[in-house]
Amino acid sequence: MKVIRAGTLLTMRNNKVLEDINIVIEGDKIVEIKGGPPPDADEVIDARDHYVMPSFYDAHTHIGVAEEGAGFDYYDINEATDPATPGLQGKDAIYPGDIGFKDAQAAGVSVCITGPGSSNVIGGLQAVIRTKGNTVEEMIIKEPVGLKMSFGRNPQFYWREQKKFPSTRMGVSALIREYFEKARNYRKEKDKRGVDPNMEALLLVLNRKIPARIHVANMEDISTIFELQDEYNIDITLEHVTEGHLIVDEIAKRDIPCVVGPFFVAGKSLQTRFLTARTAAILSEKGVRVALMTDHPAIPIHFIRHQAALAYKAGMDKFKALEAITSQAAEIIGIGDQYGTVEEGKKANIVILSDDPFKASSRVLYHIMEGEIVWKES
Amino acid sequence: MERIIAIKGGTVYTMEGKVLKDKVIVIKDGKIKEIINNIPENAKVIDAQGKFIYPGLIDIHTHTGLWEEGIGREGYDGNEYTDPVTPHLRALDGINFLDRGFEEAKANGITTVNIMPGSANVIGGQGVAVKTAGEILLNPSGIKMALGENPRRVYRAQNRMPSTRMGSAFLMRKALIETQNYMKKKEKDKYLFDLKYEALSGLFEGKYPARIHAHRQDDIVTAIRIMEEFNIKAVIEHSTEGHFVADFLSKKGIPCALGPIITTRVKQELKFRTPETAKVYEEKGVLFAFTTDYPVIPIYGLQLSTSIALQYGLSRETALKAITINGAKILGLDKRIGSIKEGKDADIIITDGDILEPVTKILYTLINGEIVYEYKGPESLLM
Repeated sequence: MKVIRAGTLLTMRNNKVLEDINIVIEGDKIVEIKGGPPPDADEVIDARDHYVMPSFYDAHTHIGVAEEGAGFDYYDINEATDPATPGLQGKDAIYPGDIGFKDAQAAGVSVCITGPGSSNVIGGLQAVIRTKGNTVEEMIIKEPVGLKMSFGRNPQFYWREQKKFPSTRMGVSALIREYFEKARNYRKEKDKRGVDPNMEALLLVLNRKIPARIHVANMEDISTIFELQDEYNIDITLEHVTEGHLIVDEIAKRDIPCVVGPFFVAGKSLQTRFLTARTAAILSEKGVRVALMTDHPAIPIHFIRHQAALAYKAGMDKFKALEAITSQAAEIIGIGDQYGTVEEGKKANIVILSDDPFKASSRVLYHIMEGEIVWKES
Repeated sequence: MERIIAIKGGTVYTMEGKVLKDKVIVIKDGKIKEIINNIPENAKVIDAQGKFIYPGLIDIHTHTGLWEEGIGREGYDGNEYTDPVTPHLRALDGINFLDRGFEEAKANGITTVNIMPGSANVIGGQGVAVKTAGEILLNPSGIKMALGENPRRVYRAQNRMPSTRMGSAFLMRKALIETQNYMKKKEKDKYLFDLKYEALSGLFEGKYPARIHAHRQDDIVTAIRIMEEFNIKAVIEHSTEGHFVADFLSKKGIPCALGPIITTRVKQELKFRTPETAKVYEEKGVLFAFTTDYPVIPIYGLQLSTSIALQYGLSRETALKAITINGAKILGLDKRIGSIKEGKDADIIITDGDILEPVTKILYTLINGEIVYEYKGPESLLM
């Protein structure tokens, strides 16, 4: 049993902040949160001068799949030999030795999604993983949690260069329809035809077992996605959503979860010309559920907290900005029932920060992952 | 009629060793005239009570206007990929001053940028230091050179030299030896004129330094070795693994443009990128300024880099220097910019909090005494 004596606890549930409180951890779970003197425990962590909150969740990364610091030869992110590869599984390309995982542990990031990139229109299946473990099996929390799809300039420009279909926005939509129609037929004739891993992956989406997690930047593509959503009655999340603030009412009406960012990306192209941290603030104001991302290695995963700080600076409510990298992120990646807040019964994923999470001087003092201290400031 | 501006009140980080409170900064003819206690007559007053005041920020390694914002490849003018040795190119000739990057710079408190060609070529060309409102401060500001992965990758793909680190070093030496030969011949033949060698002659004459892109420690040391052979002043650009050779840099007195310290390690040579390098430089006494390498990371990353370096042990004092006066020193422009001092250019920013905090907003940016950016609500943020 461990006890954290918290000075300030941000539970990340309903803006609830508790002062001078004990968090009791048994095994991998938070079993009790109560005031008064700390109960007897194997280990008591004194955080009376500090901030305690859920550890961080990154709702969109390619960690382990696109290995950092190794050069392009080690990029396993895009199987760019076919624009539709739904049967690929991100979990088959995760390298647990990626230095990104060490950074994540030191920065208090416990959990993230990882999987294929955006060169393919239908990229493959994604997994939710812990940022610690020697094997992928130890790391996986839940999979598959989504089917990566991609709209707009990334697939279009990539396949145009290959002089292959699809090289236009029309082509991208047509390809998706073609595959969904194939999958519908497959569903009818499955017994006759035998198992097809590509079709099985698409059926997970058509049967609403998992959402399509769709890379999109521009508002015209967001509109096209809405049409497809209506045609096929599927669950979706919008990823990046760079121009989301320009079409916010429609997104809010449909109540579609948005994973926004990353914000400090490299020189902007035509499709990211309206990139701003304001997007997260505007979507959130209209009641849209917002998580934030680093898109690691686009932005290194240890700067997820700074993505939230930028959203806050751009006018997002402080708690909403923090939820976007904790509780709301856990909800959107499909594990909110067990993860993402500091509450009794939840997994003990906790960070202790030296100060307010948005302060420059706020350092990660402890990172506790499912009851285990995985990082401690020396 | 002469125009006088008075910035009244606030906490002034002059970067001249003093922090002043509740003074009046008087600006006349684009210069800081004096710092006094009372508002002069006929002055336009900017009320900064309760606010923070700093010299305009400086980024000494950018490609602003060379790689333009928001238009894709039509705006890529940073690398002349056709010849690994192009000292005669001038960044100035490739800059689009209407690029949104300059607006972003002003909105984020950056008043001076050094703009250089990219790092595809071993010798890329001439940099230029400009005010983000448009004035040319120094041209050329140095000769951009590059070692490491970039030139090697570009020319290996073209099946020509350099395809190895040895090849890059050879081409660098060869160009400098040829310049020495040229300078000797020129003593006898005054009509001799070669654009490439003219540009490199300035290095030997001490007019400007070589600014050498080097990430890995071996590349850093190679750059310094070659420049010492020719007695040329060197500045190391990026210096990603500088923490491994900080003693060496300090002993040699080589200044560094450090960063971006918060970028992705997309290449092997970035494997040891860490925000901790800044702290090591501080401990070892290496003169450095932060850089964003804009648009490699957005220009507001200058403020953010500094915030993040604090979490990795850098002191607040050095952090502030590394985005103001140190950059001015490394550019050789510290007589004009980099601190709030009588006689210097009135490049000043006013913020709603400590600039080292990631959530602090820039309220005003002044360049040469003119307000070039004013915060009018979250929609003015260019980030």
